[in-house]
This record gives sequence, C-alpha cells and structure tokens, in this order.
Amino acid sequence: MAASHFLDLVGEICPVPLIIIQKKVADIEAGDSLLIETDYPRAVRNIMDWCRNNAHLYSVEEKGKGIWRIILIKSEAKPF
Amino acid sequence: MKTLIKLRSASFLAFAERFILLITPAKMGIAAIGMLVLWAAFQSAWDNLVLWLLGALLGFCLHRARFCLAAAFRDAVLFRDISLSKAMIIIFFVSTIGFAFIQFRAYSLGLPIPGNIHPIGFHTVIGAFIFGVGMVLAGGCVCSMLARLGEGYVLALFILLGIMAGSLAGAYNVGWWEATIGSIKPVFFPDYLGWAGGITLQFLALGLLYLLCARIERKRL
Repeated sequence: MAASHFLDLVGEICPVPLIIIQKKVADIEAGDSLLIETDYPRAVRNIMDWCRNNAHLYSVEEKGKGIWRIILIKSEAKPF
Repeated sequence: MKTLIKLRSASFLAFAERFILLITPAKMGIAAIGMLVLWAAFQSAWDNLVLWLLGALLGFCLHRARFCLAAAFRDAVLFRDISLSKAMIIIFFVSTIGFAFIQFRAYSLGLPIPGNIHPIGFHTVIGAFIFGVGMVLAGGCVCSMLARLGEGYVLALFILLGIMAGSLAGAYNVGWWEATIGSIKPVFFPDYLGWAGGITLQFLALGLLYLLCARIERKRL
C-alpha cells in the first residue's frame, strides 16, 4: 500500500524547498506520493525540472493566488 | 436599531465587494497603458513610452520564464541543474553581438565607447563574492526580485529596501571608489586584440563554457 506524505513549504525561499524535498523523497518508498505546497514561483520550476530528471511523476496546480500544489510520485529509478 | 446597522454595514460590504471584484489585473494593466499613452501624448515624450513598453515586455518575459540569475549559478552547484546556466551563456552570446555593433559604431564615429568598461582586480573578486552571498540569501538577483515584487511577493519589498540602502551607500561613496580603483586602466579586449580578435575570444570562451555545461548534463543522465 503506497503511503502519502505532505510537505508545507509556504514561506521557504529558494533553494530551501528543493533541498527539503530531496531529503524527504530519499526517505519515502518508491510509489509513495508526496503533496507539496509552496509559494515561491522559482521553486516550482526547480521541482518540475528535478522530477523530470529523476523520472518522478508529478503534477502542478495553482491552488490559490500565489500558492502552488505539487503532487509527486516517487519513481523506482535510482537517484543520481 | 443594532440589527439595522449590522444589516446596513453588511450590505455596504457586499456593495463594495462587487466593485472590488470588477478590478482585474488585465483591466488595471489596460488602464495603466491608457494613462501612459495619454501622458506621452501630452508631454510628446514618445521615446519614454517606447522605452517603458520595452521594459514592460522584458518584465513580462522575465516573469513568465521564471528567469533567475541566482538560480543559474546556485542550481548548477546545488542540484547540478544547468538549464539556466545555459540560458545565461546564450544571453551573453546575443548581447556580445549587439554590443559589438553598438560599440563599434561609436568607435568608428570617434565617440566615447558605451558600456560598463571598468578596471578588474582583487576588488572585483571581493565584490562578486559579497554580491553572490547576498543574492543567494535573498533568493534571487535584483531583476527576479523586481518581478517577484510585481507579483505581490511581500518579502521582495524588504529585499528592495536592502538594495536601495546598498545602492545609496555605493552612490554616496562613488567618489572614493573612483579615486581608488578608477586609476587602474581597464582591460578592453579590442584595445589589445582588435575588434575581430576580441569578439572571437569572447565567443570561444562562451562556447567552451556551453560545451562544459552540455557535458555535465550528459554525465548526469
């Protein structure tokens, strides 16, 4: 059974969001989902690029004004 | 009586809200452009209007692309993500061509050469280090901070205050800096290598950096 996790990163500025996410993703199992909320626009782009490079599935939506919600599913692939 | 006041204030709020909801960013933008065109027509300051429109377009690109000079360096080191570093090298390529034209035109007309031609030395290294630390702590460079402020990111307002304080201090002491550093002769490539040589050297250096970036990217995949 895949678990789901949540990270509230509202108020964190670059590069902190991606560093926290990298640590969190290293801890969770492959197939687990991680829900992230951030208000730093550049971090959204960073997270998308990082997910693509590491073959994690992701989706992004703008939840409200200036807050993005990202859902990430950890891939089986070994991180570089 | 009390309930009547309550009802009135509630209906007033609803009334005000209806008007506030009519204001959208697009409408505000159109209103701002309209006012600027009117102002330019009254002052016959069409140059300023063109500059303002160019600035607005650049700002729009900056905002949409989420371009960040701080990320171009920081992400390359922290996350080995060099997409922005490559974008920056391309910017240097394009601006080298543009500025070569502008500077060569001024040079051949015998005018002073435009551009930031300043002496280099140990002060460049120290200044760059301090600026880099500040940039990463602030979470972006000056231009992406301005884009963020325009977006309504309140933290950027405090960073803007810091930038203003630093710029004011720099402007206040500019005489001392010019007296101390200004005496060193700046290195301007065309003086030493000729125009073609200077531009070729710059392109070679940029090309090598780009190849290095592409290599790092391939290695990671």
